[in-house]
Amino acid sequence: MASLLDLPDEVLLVILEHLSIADIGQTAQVCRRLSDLIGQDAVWRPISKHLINIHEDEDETKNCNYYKTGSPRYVSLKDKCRISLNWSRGQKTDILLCKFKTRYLPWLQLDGQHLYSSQGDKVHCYRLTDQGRIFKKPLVSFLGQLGDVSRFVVRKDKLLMSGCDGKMLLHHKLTGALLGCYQPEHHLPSFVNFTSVDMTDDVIIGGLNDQCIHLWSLHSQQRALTIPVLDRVWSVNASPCQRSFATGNAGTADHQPLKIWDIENGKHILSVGRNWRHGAGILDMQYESQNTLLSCGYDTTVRMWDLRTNCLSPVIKLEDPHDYTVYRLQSDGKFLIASGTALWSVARLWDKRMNSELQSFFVDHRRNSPVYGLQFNGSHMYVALNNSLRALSFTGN
Amino acid sequence: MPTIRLSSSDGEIFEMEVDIAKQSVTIKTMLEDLGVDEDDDEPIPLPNVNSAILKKVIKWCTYHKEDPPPPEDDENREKRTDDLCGYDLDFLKVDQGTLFELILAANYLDIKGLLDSTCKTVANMIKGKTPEEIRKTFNIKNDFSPAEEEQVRKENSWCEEK
Repeated sequence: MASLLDLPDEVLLVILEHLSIADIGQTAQVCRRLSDLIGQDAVWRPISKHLINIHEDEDETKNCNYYKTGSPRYVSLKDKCRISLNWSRGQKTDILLCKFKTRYLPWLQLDGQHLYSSQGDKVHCYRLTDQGRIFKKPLVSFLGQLGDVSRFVVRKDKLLMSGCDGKMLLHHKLTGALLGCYQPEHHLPSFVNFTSVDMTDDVIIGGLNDQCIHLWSLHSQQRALTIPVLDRVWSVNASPCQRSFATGNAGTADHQPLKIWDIENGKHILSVGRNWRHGAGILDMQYESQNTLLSCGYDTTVRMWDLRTNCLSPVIKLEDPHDYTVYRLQSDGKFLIASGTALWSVARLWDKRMNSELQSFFVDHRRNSPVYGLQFNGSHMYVALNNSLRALSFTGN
Repeated sequence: MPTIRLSSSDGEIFEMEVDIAKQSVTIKTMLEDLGVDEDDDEPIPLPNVNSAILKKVIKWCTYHKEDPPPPEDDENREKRTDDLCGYDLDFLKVDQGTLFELILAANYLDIKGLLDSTCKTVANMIKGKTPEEIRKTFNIKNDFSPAEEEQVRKENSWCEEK
């Protein structure tokens, strides 16, 4: 008569599909055959679809330049699920990557195996080790800015940085070679500088605190457009479709801090949301896709907008439980949103399917610093505070 | 009512309405795509299913003939094991050997509903048990060395509910 182990693998898979993670863990300890079977990706694939911060196929992420895996090694889907549960359970190790000699407002971007961080008037590119730490000596440093770098963006093979000296510089992201310089035509007063930058394949977008957006052709370096925005611009994001971009403003002039504009002609397309409070400035945004936009800022709330609707109300609204301003956000493109707040180096994890936060971390509990930079991949979260670069490792190793 | 004849591995012949038999995608494919004629005298051979099990399978299919076709595999659908109908719960109160033979038959004949119900039944026998209890339930030999067993326990400790 037949017994359980007489069943072929594909049938055992059907049985395992009905078991919880806990039961699968117990079943894996029964005998070698079951242990081997449970190591296979097919067992974990249906489970991984419901967990946070998992992308099985690296190709899935190739269109999302904000998210790439941290590890160059192959990681089994079972191990990815284990790491994902560490995120959900808040099980992490704290790592100090480097301490600054002075206080900065550093901006951060993770690009595959490289971590870019602005520190003062420079941007450094660090290589990540296999364990997700950084090699202390930067691979390349980007210079040329005469004041502090306010923001930068890495896209494809280029890095664009802007700062307090009223110009933007374009470099090759790995060699540091200077590719272009972008400046407004008139000499700007010294208190006017770039607060935010972004770029598409062809267009450079710069937001200034003189209440204007300037657009340049990336290749010819000719200035294309100036758009008066009537409000200080805090953040700028190009849509993945590359035909429009979003601006986050201070929200003091017309109480519409979030607007979408046409890249070609600079026309205002849409004001997102309504009944914004006075001063609800938008400090950070992310396009999850060309139809989905995330925003956060001074009104302490992260919102997700569906741009195919009239955008009067957000699809998702996540209020900071301590009423901290949210400086930074990042999404994994599926369920996980990480937010960095203005006080006590607090970073939070949110599952879009739930209304309250999943986890909160004091990245440096002795430090009352805003989270100026926040970037995560499948295994690590990197945070820039005013005095240091830190990481949270969720690999459990 | 058109019928077809099936022959089990031990040579017994069973007659079945075509509509009921088509719950088996394997048989359905034979009839539709391979041009096996309903009027053929030759019974369809099922060398992987003995008569005792085939009898039970026919019984299950006859009861479930009015069932709506099972939904397409929706990976987002929650997998439940507590939704077996009363008939199936009763029908599957059999010894383990028979249960696994039914699973193998449902797999070979590609009868989704029966495979689902039988697998859920086995899943329910595994739920909440420790590895030793699972071994006892299914009479499985522990082929780990003590060191290996400890290693496997460590590797899977993260699965536990925290």
